[in-house]
Amino acid sequence: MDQNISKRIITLLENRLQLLGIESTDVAHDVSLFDQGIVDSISFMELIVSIEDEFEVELDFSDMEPPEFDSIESLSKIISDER
Amino acid sequence: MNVEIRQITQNEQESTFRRVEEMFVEMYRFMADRGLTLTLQKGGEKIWLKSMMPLLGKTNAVVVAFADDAPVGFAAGNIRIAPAFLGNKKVGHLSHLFVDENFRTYNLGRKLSNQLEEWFSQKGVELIELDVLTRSEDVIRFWERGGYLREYVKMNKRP
Repeated sequence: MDQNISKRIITLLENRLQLLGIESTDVAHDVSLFDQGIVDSISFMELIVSIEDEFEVELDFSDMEPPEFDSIESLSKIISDER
Repeated sequence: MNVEIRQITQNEQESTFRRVEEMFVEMYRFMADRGLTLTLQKGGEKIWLKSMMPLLGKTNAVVVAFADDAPVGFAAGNIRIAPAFLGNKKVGHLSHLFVDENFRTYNLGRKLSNQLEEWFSQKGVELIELDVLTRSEDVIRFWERGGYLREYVKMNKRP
């Protein structure tokens, strides 16, 4: 997992973490962000838009199952593969 | 019988986690019998508990009832943030409540939910919500006695 990419994704989630009252170090990288309660469907789409802007990539999950894209680790891998 | 109701932490004994997982399975079996559409997958209880662990006590909580040190019931919930168009309000979602059928005359359900609600209050939620199967009129009455009001009906169909 690219640590730099993961850190930047976590930064994009800063607003959500603040609303939830948790630290970035509390977030598990290998567990679904949905299952951890960090994102819902709306905030996840907002995250994807932010990721696309931040990393200048286009993400398409239409052929993927959620475990392939719903954790910090899996998102980091997708971004890394796209670049 | 010595009863203790408390929130569990990441440092619990493995036996406590395993028993909570077993009760999770029993709960979903109970709900499947009452019409739950999406049923628990094999190993789903382990996936659920694993997802709770990183933020246990921070954005989610599991409260367990122990009878003579053995887990006999649990309640679980998590903090949700409403969308921005609803003001990003902090909402407590009471996701699960289950008591072993052999211990259902000791008011443990109410004690478990009360303790979880206390945790939600400490976390500053503005509302506590939960979902109940429409075929479970007895469960709906339980929550109404606890001060919950019916709000809307969730519907679904297979495409």
